[in-house]
Amino acid sequence: MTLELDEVRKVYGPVEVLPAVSLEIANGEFLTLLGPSGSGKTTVLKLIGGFAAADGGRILFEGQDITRLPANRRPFNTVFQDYALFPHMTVAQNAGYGPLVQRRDPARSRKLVDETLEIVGLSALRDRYPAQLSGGQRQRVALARAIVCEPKVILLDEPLAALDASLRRQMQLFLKHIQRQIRTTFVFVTHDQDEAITMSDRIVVMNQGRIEQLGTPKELYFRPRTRFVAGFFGDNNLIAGRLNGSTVETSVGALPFGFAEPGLAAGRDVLLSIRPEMLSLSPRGIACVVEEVVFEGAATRLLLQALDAPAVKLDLQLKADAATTVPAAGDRVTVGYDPANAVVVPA
Amino acid sequence: MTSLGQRWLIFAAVLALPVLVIVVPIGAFLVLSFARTENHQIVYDWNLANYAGFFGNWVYLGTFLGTLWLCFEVVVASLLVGYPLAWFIWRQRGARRYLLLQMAALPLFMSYIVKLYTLRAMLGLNGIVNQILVGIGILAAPSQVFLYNQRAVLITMVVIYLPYVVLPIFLTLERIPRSLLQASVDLGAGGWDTFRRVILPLSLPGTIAGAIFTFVLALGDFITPQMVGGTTGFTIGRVIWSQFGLAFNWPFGAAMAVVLMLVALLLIVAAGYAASRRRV
Amino acid sequence: MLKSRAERVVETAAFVLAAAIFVVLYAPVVVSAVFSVFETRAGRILWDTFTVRYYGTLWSNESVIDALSNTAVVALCAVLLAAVLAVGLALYAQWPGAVGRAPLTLIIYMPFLLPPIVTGLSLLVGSANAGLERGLLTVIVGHTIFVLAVAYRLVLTRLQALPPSMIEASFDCGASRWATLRYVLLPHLASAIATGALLALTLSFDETLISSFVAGDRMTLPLRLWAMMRVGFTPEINALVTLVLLVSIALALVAARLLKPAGEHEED
Repeated sequence: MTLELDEVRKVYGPVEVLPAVSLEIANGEFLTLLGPSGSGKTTVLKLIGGFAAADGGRILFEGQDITRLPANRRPFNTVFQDYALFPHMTVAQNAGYGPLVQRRDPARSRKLVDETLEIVGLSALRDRYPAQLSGGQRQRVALARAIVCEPKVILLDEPLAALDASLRRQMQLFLKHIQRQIRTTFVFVTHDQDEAITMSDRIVVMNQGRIEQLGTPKELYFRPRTRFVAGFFGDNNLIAGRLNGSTVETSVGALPFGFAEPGLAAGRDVLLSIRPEMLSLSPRGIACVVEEVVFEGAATRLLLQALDAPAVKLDLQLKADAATTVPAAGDRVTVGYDPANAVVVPA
Repeated sequence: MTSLGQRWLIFAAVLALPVLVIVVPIGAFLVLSFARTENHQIVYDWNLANYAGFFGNWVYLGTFLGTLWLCFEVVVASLLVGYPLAWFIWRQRGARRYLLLQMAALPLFMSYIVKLYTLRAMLGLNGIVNQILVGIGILAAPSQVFLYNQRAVLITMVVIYLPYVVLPIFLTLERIPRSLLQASVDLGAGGWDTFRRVILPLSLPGTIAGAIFTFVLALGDFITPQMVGGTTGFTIGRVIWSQFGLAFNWPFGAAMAVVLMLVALLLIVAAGYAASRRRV
Repeated sequence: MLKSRAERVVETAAFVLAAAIFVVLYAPVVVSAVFSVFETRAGRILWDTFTVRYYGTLWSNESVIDALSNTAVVALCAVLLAAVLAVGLALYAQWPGAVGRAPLTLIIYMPFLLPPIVTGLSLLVGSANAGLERGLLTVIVGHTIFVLAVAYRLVLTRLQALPPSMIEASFDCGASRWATLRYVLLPHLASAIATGALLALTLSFDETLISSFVAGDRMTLPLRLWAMMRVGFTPEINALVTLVLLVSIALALVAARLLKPAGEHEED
């Protein structure tokens, strides 16, 4: 099965939230829509689910145009951010709501509900009401309710946002595990990049209504294609310069790189992106002075300033054990890197 | 920090005026219900004669029960008309919703007597109801059946008390989170299923509370029956009123009013209980 | 949200019902207005007699003006008293050291929740026992206790929304109790008091049932209108009534504006 968005456009009043989004989602994958608030990721989810109507473009499912199909007729189910559990129904009744209103066979539905509650680990709580459950338990009821409907796609709208940090991590692994188990396509919305990297098969990074890049977590992390993506995941070193063949002319010299966004013309203003953990202290390289040393437990970070160009600041992650001597603030060092780890993106 | 004794003193001081103007009069009239009249004087004799006279006499007891039934009819009719209206307003979005809500609430601020007067005119022989019915051909000639009877009281009261029913229903509907409705649709429910299984159950407690409150309001209304009820539209309010007027039997009137008050209190408590059962 | 055809049909039906209801609910305004500018004979409107002179002549109708001024006096007094009482009682109720909140709340809400006939009767009996003659004073008392609940509720809700840290901050800056009341509490409560006063005003203006018991010989506007109902309203009375209706509606709209919550961005 494929779910496809073709030049989908959405406006709210005078604001064009999504100018033209095109996306293809594959069967059985865990796809995350990632971006800051206002990026349009939730709008895309709503359009897929049928809770917002597209103002342009088409939405296709297995070849059929479902753009105008009402939400209750689409073979998708949503896990809402506030869970939206029916307060006047028990866990089992909530879970069984879908089959009930779709007039499915009662005996089979009962069995399905029991099995699903088993999968999510809520069998013992089936006769409780939502008010009697904890946040994590409610989350699981919401998920069970969606799974029972045997949808082709499950849409999750920042479902972990309301949970505290440790519960969140647990639920992230849990969701990933469930998804593998039931093999249903998950479309997941979040603004948390760590969450996205941990859980997804592929990530769609969105910014101001446009797709910046679509790829696997590794691709996005190691091979960003836009300035936004390069700066989005964790701290990244971005050095401004001009593209010149296989190097970038910067204020600290001509720096080599290993990968560039295709189609960049020579002479173009670009950014050279190198991850902090890819920089190392080496005999030859960019001359810097250490501004600050930050001990972070697993690693130590050195905040550096280039000697030739004081505007250029670098972030270096040093793997060091208790015995290693670490430079101190004020020391002069030279910083080098393997060109294969440097990526060039348009400025 | 003030001591407990001082706090009770302050409480007494604060409560003095309200107690004087609210509780004492009620107490006085409670006491009056146990008195009797003798030669146009009120004798405080502590007896239950008034209550016996009320409960033992079908003329009075029957009127009271009839009034309860009438108010019940008024509330049911108001709900049948008012719930769809409240639902309709709730379904609107943004400025339209707010405007419609205001339009539904404004009649509450219109003069009660004027509403009565207009409705009486509309229901009369020359009134607009008859004019329309004759015009469309349903009636051959204007009919007197719409005025000066129990039916007229019912119709008039429904129109007057409708806003009192509509507003609580709207407020209760408004409390239902949108995500619940979206979830119901998401899970495959059509409009009817969503209404029947989600909206209705969740709005019921608030609706019942509003209905009971309206019932209590209607119960005490004696002017409407007097104006449009004719000779057959008699309510207990009118009976009580006359005890303080021409009949000049204050203790008896007080006793009936006490019964009315107790019924009203019971209902208010029931309404409070219904309201507390809400889940949204 | 995308709607199905059935949903649209239901909504259209509801729309028709709503329209019909609004026509009936607003009929009094229209009818009064029409009958204030046209003359009638035997129930028929004489369409060629349009005039607005009754809006002028009504001001010289003595019984009307007397009733109107009584109503105005009663309303203003009742609202003032109710506002002062409401603020005082609300402040007490919010005071952490308060005792007896439950009986207090019960007493305040009783006159509003109970059928007005009971409230009116209790005051009738109470004033008779106290030897107090029925008149404007008793009406004022009756209206005050009736509208107190409304004013109290609004003020209390607003007061509860005030963060306690504000009061502590005021004391911390060296303000006395009175200064805190004057410069912190009252400004915060001002809008609630104003809204409560407006609502109380409209309630008092229209109050009929309680007044009928305790007014004695005096006439308020609703009582005067009630008396006139037997003979029928003249165009002059209709003019008065139309004006009263329009003023009530205007006051209600102002109160609604004050009560309106901040707008929300609603998608879809």
